[in-house]
Amino acid sequence: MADAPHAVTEVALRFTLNGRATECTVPVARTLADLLHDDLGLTGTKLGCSRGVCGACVTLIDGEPVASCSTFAFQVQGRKVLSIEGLATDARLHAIQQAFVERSAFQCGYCTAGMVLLTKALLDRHPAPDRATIVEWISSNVCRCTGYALIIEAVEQAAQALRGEVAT
Amino acid sequence: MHLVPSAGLVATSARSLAPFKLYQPHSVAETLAALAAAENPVLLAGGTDLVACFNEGLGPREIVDLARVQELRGIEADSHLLDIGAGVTHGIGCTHGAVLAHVPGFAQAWVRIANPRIRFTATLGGNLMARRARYEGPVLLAALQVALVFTSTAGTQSLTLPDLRAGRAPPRSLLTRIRIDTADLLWYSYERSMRPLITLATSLYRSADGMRLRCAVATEYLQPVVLELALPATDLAQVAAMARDIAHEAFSQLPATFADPVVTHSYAVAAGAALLSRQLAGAAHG
Repeated sequence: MADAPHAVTEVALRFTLNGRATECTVPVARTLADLLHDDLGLTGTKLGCSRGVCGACVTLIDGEPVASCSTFAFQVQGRKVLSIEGLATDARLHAIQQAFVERSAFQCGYCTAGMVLLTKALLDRHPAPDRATIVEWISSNVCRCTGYALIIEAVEQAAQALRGEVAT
Repeated sequence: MHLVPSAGLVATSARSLAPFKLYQPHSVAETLAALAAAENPVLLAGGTDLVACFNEGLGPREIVDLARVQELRGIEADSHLLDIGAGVTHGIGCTHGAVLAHVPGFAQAWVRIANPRIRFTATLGGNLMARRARYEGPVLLAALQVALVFTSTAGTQSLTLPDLRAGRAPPRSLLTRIRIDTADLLWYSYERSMRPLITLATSLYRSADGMRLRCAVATEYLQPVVLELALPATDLAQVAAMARDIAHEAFSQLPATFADPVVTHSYAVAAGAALLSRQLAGAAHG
């Protein structure tokens, strides 16, 4: 029989966070949400339900949307993590953020970071999504304020902007 | 509150998970060694269910992370078998060419059992091993002829879904493959429009004297029950033409014990028959 790997209680983590090489040591029981929000001060990652249901804490890992409250920090070893703080460039809002602003696609704003990153993952895969696809993706996350209509419009506008069909 | 240099005073999250020891094996052999070495290990596949378990009070002291075990990835297929690694995520599986080619109805169903946030992380093996009635992996697979391959230090063993539910998986074993027999499979469909009240997965198989219907029925609280029926039909158009009669005959077999706090037996029979009739009526169209 093979030897069992050594059991650890903390991990020396190396990953790329918002384009920057990041190193830290974390207890294995630390979630990615807590690492980002509490340890690294990236408070745009919001904790809602803390059980992977609401999507307020969505971050992108290698471009895939995940609930960071239900992801252990050690699971991002060697991977690329994008939080909401990494989306704008040179103080200029990303086209998705701009569309959310222009459509007033938020009220309290607690779900917005998760919605924006979920939209990025959607539009990276489907640059011209139909309304059913947008609804399928956006309904992954919970918004208790807007009723989703304005968010869906913002996603449609962002898709058009990213395709170069409208100016932002 | 604590001070983070880049952000000032930060309110920490209101919870922390109980500490545990982590094993990160690189192979099935190392995984089995870790399972043997640990006192009461819990396996981590995608993790979407395990963190929920923490919140429900499960505090595993030792976790074996399967992320680096490449043998659990990959999907293979030939003319009679679709062989899916237990570590395949829903997102990979539902778009995989072999699944789309061999059981397109299953691919269409697979994409619907998890939202995009869950889809790229959660695995089919994790869905089954969580053994939660509300998870849809078991009902999806119960309509098919499926072998669950477990590996332990004693060797390899194939189990059925009822075996798994009955706790017959060997101790300290690992679900490695999910094998779907596709040799005589003609058609597969999944119906979840009434979820969480009732969901149906249905397949039609070629048999010596016609066709065989296999319909798995589940609710939010009940594990799938399988209804089987021999059909005097030779093609899907004939099945579609007889859909209503077939559906009522199939659901006349639903055990009287099939009821939960929300769905009565008589409701399950009526709703299930209506859904199955609708499914079968569409069979002629693929």
